[in-house]
Amino acid sequence: MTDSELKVQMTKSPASARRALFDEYCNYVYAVVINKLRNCGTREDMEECVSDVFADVFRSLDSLEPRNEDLKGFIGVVAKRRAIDSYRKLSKNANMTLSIDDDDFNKLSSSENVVANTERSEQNALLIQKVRELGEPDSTIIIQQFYYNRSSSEIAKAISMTTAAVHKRSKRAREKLKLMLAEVGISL
Amino acid sequence: MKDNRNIFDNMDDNSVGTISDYFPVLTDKEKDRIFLMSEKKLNKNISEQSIENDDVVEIENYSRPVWHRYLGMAAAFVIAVIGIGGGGYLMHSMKKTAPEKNNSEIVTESATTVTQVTSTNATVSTTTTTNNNVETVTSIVTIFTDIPNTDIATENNSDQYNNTSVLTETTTTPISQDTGENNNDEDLSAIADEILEQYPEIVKIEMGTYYSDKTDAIKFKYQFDNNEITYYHIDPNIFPDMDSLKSFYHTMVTPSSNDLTLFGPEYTSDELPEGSMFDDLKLYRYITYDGKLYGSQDASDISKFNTWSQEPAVINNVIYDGDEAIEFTALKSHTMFNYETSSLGMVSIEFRLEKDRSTGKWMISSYHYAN
Repeated sequence: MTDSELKVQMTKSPASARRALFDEYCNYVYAVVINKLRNCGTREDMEECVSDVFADVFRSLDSLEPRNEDLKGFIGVVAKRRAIDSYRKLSKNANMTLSIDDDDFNKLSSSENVVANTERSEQNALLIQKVRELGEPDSTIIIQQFYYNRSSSEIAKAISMTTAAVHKRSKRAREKLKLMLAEVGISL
Repeated sequence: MKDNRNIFDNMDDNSVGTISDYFPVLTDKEKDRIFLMSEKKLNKNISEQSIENDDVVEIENYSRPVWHRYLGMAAAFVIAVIGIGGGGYLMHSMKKTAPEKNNSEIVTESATTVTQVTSTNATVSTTTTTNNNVETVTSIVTIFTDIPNTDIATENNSDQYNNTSVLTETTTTPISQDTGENNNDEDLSAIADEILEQYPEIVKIEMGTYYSDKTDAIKFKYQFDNNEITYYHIDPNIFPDMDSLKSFYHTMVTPSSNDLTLFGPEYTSDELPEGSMFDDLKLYRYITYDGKLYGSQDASDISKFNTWSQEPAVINNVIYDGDEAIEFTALKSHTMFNYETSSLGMVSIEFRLEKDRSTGKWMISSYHYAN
């Protein structure tokens, strides 16, 4: 959805335009948020943060300059900022110490960081490719279990399988993934 | 693999985007809940802002000149007269030019475009209907005239207008046989629905439940979990060897690295006696043992494909080479029987379909659950 398309929808019905925007980007925002809060927040914290992101986005809609651009970039930036804020709050509440290796501290990119980030991006892309090559339902099980922190019973419900079946498939899929990654030089 | 929980930590932006595209996770219930929270926060913020700005709130009455209303009504009347007259004329012309009805298959398609002209407070809605190669264009002009005399700035201003007159205009013109862009999705949806009929066969092969003979089985141990793994002899009348199975599979699915774990190597009883530890790290679905084809079943997968939804596949991400579609995704739901809960569940699967450039045949290149 572009900002121009959204503006047109907003003139007809702001409420349904907000819902359409939410439906299109909620999974993306959730993925951005969980990427940051996976190790410090609960499911409720993440949902709270996602709702904050969309409240921010909805508030900014009137002030958006029409450029006919995809809104994904803008929403992604809002989501990352909100997720970092939440991460700081949650870490503070939990008396966690922020490491200087954290992304939040990499404000100035040195050439080493650029190289390291590029390598990380390539490795991530390879990881996702190999997960997808596992085939279904294994790839969904792995992503839901390890990226989204979903329990076996939640995954079982989502893909209409038994919890035991999900557990067993996950175990085998992990072994398979380990081998596939080893073949391309990534060790776990 | 205890450390596996860390492999997805701090993914880069592109990877996060890819994950959300291919593996959407939020259920409808979760979406509704989060959306409601967002709306509440938005409303709370708006009401807080209005309280904070109490000292500057001032409603200024604006009186629109009375003649504006009469001018609007007159304009609406003129447009209505022209529309009705034009419509009548075109209806008359249509009768003269309409092709004779025949018994050929009727193809109907509709496309609606809505253009809102804010400066004149009029909305033009155009509906195009194609029936037996005759394109009918119906235009609905909605005029907003009853604009309140007092304008108070609110976020939702769509309710300020009331429709006062509606005008329809119909034109009829013959069109060519060429399929337009709107036809493409329907064509691709039909292609997808046809290809996806093969999906249960693909699942049978991937799950190893394909025509196996339960009386002829060999057992090994799998070194990772020390579990017993059983391979059943595949009915040689259906698939005499690995190549025939592989060829059949690849009439539906494009070759991928998935093949590496589906179609295993050849063993003999001398090098791998029954009951011994499976020496390969990969857990093959099919192996050749002493010249015979064997397959292992996924006993843990007790939820089965039931039936496809009656809804046509939803087509997205179409990639064209010139005018020709060569790749697209098709989203389709099917029911699955869950033996644990003894109930039918509904799952959606997104398939990527690619056209084989040499044979012109559509094939499934990958698929994943899309909740």
